[in-house]
Amino acid sequence: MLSVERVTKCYGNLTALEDISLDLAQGVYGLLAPNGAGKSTLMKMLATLLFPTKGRILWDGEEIVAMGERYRGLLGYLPQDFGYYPNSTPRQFMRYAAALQKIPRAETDRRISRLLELVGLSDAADRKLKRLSGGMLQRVGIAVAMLNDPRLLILDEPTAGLDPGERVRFRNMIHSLAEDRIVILSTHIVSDIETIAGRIIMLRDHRLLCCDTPAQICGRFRGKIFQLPADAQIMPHQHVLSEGQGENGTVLRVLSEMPPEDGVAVAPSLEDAFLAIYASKREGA
Amino acid sequence: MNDREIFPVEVPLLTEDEKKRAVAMILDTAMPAILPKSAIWRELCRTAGMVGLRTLFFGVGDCFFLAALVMCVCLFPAAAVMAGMARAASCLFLISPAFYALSHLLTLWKEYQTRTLEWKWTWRISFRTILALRMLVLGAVSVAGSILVCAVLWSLERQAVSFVWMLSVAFSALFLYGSLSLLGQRLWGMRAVLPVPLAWVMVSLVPVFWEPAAVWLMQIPAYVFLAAAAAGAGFYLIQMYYFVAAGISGLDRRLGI
Repeated sequence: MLSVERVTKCYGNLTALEDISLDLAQGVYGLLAPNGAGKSTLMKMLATLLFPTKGRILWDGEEIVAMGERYRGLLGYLPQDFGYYPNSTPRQFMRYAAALQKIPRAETDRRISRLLELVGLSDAADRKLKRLSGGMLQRVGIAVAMLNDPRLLILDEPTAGLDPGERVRFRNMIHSLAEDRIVILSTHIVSDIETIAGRIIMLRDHRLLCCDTPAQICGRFRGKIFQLPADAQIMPHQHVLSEGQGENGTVLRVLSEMPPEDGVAVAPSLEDAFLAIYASKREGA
Repeated sequence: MNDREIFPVEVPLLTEDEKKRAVAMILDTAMPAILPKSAIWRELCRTAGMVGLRTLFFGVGDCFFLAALVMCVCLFPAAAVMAGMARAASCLFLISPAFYALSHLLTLWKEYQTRTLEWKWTWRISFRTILALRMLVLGAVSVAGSILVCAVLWSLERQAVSFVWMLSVAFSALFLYGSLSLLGQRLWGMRAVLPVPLAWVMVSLVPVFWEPAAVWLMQIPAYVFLAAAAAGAGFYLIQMYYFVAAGISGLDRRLGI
């Protein structure tokens, strides 16, 4: 179990995260917040790339910094903008990563083949990394992060660059992986997180807003999201969340406490909830 | 009236548990975990055996080729400056650590450019351990290279000075540079990577261009340089211990590398 206890992170006078407390058990957690809210800072602290200014992070009651190599041994991490040696092949790069993860040599090749198959890259295993597409590289990254069969898998924007087919494959893979481990992923693609994550961590004003299931988060806006024709008049107490294409042309999705005229109540999606939460923040600011 | 009376502030007292935690955190930050020296060297040997040279230099082989090439090119002006041996000590002092410094700088630059560092910091074998092993291998190659360079220059200059004296100058320069660069990295992390070699070049160029300093260096006997080399080697090993210990205990990122 991973526990974040009253963690604050400051960079000089700037507070990136303030008083964050979380308890994470096995399952998939989606980290959702606008840019600059402290998502990457939190991910990096969980990966021990940054250290809290205040508070502490514990793995099964033991401070992760003090655990050192033992913690890194149970951690799989995919950085948002990860690097590689362009002239090496996925198999060579994974062998290299496996050696630095202290995976026994006898087991390395078997594990690499299995992971490459899992991410659908068996055919490209011996092609140079510089010849692979962005989506293929992202899959190599995911395979590298999973090399040590981590108990805690941290994925920063893992679906960036994946095409729809790859994205579905990734979701299925994460579902199967999350049965006996903690998976934390951040993405700006709300629909991805909606289908993958069992719980969603939201940050606002550098503080923790919630850590709830998608249904609970959407439930807060039940009866408050309406669909209106594009030419409908918007009242001051109504907030336009998004525009979309309906059966009869362009429609607006609107947040309103009261049912608007011509408005049709719709089931709130996570994207509506996300936009509503951060729209009210923008207006409140 | 004092400030407390004007602005009464209720200061929350720490619980016993919070006090203990605060003290532990201060101690953790102030004093890197003290691991026995033998454990560090054992860990280094075990890791070296586990990863092998190929993994140790994976992806950065071209940096060594480039450093060796630059070193070879540097030998020509060095031989020209050393003609007559008046500036032998200054030249040896300048070029002896060149391969070590260049290889180290180029590999770090490549790691930075390829953006692999963030990944390596989270892998089980500490990045500092890898850097330390690379430095030890580079040090050994540089020692062998220094012997070769001294032999070439000694024969080119028709054995005008003692070969042992040349070796002692080369080794003292190499070990002093190595320990200063390691000390810098240990204390200031990545920020020390460039200033240390730059400072070394600046200082070493003084006797190259200033005759009295060159003459003074030439008068220093071999045993003084040998003593400096031994002290440098000892200091290097001590710095290496602290450098690796911080990596194993996970304090390396707190220290900036």
